[in-house]
Amino acid sequence: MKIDTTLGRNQVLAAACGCVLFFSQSLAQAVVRESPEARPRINLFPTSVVEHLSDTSRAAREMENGMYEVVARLDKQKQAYESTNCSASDDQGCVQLRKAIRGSYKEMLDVMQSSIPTMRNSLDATATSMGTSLRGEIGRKMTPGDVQRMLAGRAASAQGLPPALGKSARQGKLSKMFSRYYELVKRGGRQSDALPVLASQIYLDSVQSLYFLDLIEAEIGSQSTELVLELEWGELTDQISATVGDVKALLWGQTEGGQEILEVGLESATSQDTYSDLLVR
Amino acid sequence: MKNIKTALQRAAQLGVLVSLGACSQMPYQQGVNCGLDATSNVDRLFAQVSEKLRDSSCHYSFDDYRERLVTATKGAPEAENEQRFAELLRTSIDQGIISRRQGQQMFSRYFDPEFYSVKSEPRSSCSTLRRQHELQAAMREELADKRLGMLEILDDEERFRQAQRHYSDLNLVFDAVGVACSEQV
Repeated sequence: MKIDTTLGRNQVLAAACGCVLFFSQSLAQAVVRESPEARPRINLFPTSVVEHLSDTSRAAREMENGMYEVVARLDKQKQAYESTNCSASDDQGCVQLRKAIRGSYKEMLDVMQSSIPTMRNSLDATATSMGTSLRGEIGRKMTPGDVQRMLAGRAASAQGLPPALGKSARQGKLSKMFSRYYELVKRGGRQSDALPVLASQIYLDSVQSLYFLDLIEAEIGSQSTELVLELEWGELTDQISATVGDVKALLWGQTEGGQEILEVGLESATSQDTYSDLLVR
Repeated sequence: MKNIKTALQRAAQLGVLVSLGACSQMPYQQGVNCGLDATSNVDRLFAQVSEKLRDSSCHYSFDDYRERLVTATKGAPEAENEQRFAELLRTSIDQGIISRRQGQQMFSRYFDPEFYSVKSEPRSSCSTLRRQHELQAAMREELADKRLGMLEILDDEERFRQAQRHYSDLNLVFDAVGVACSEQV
């Protein structure tokens, strides 16, 4: 009876050891099998990043929509001012036109100023979450060599390229940029090897946009004060024209750099098996 | 006086011994001509180098041979040059003239679109990118070698464009990760 119990215990122990050995070997094999070809699994776009990106795109679109009307009015007033040679005239009509332009300009700055806090909050959230993701998933988990391997393994990514967004002509550059990023992230699974490049562009663009948003806000603050003082009798300065031009370029600029930049490095890599012994993987 | 004479004789003997010792450290050159003929024919030159490297006395000339071959192949760029260099490096590794790692480094720097200087970095990206400018400088140098290897030796524009894409992609990602890591609390 005692022998039976001992035998039973031994069998259980043996079975347990067997299981442990089996699992440890499986694990070891899995590690060995995976290690040469394994690419680090990373999640650069958790739900929070995608949501912040969507918010930023929406905030940019709202800002652009709010400004569209006032900038269009400014454009018409400026055309009238130039076509009537008002710049060298003290005619009452010209004085009124100058005043109207300054009023519209102030309105444009006000719209921008009121939109900036929302825009900044969502940009800040995007930059912070994207930065955390890049730092955690690439900065700490991967060596530079891992990054290179990941970028080099972009098989068939040309097929996954998103078509150019054919949205409304009114859609501004800033919102287009972020809505494009949002679309790319949503489709990201099909071209996962290019995601580090996309994440890096989003992060650097967000950080840079934040920097410019701060500059714009500071500039609006100083210009608004000057405008209040000069609204009645001041000359129409070149600064106003230049600022309106810059705002138009920022919001509805014709040049589309996003497509060109985003396609960088999405082509498939060629294999060089013939010289595998002379290449470091 | 006698003591001085003896001391001088001993010093002279010691000098001769030291000279002989120094000579014994030099590779044995007598009767071996490690020089290459003045030809620009690529096949003939590779054949000559292989022949010379069979003699261990000529192993010291490996770097000179490599430079000579680079110059010669630049004058006759074609895809086959890759195979010629690969064979030479394999033979040199087998004969122990260079280590496998050295061979891989040479081949990769000239002919691989990916960057050896990036692959050989063992630390995490955050640690490496604390010295981002050093990595960037190494990549720039390597891109110049790739230009030499891919464009001037192989005449392979597409491969060099691929290397350039790697270069710009990697720099973009390293820029972003470098900023993200530096903002770590």
